[in-house]
Amino acid sequence: MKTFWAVLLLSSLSFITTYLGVKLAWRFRSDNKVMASGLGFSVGMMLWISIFELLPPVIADLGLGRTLIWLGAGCLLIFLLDFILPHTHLCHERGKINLNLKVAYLVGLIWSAWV
Amino acid sequence: MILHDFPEGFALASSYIHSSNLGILVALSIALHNLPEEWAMSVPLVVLGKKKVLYRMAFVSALAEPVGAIIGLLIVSIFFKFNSFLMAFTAGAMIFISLHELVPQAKSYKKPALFFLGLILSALVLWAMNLLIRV
Repeated sequence: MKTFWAVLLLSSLSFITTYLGVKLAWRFRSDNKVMASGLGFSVGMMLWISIFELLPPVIADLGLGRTLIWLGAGCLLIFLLDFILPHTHLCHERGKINLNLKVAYLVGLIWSAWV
Repeated sequence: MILHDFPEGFALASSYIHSSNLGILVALSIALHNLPEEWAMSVPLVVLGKKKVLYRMAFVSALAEPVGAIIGLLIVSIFFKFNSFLMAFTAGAMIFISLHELVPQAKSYKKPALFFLGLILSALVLWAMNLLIRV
């Protein structure tokens, strides 16, 4: 139970920064310099935490091969969801993906889960 | 946006299960990462002046993280042996999202030097947090 509350409390930190991010956008809008460095920071944070903090204990536990397979599976799932879920991209719209393609991906996903 | 926050919640839950210090480090990193990310994502809606839509989307997106964390906790509590698999899986998802969504967005600002400065800054911040928390 202690773990549950700790995790909930820690995840609420992101709740606060998400709200602050929106507030900042409303107040200051966009400045190319700030946005480019801010996104660099944002990307870096995710990359370094994944590569240097999350993966070493996993590699120690599972070995490099299985770690890479599961890492790839994580990438693949988001890649597939990206096609299936209707959403807009931040910087460029890709145009509408036709329904057949969506169905094909969905079938592929279910098939791979089945196998 | 919501797609981004679910794996982050998962990562937080599974890393906290692995060790509480790692969980705290991951939580702080994700919180810091969200600030510029949400800022950049909100600007298009701000320009359109859609305040209500913006706050509603931000609320759902912000909620996705604790919800993801709770789902992650449930998964790990049922399949404790799979915690390492979940950590690798979420790491993959987070790396992919960063490279696939945020890098093209950053490119559109046409300031590669500042982007790299941000990358270096994030490494320094992570290093400093590591010293403070001692994973």
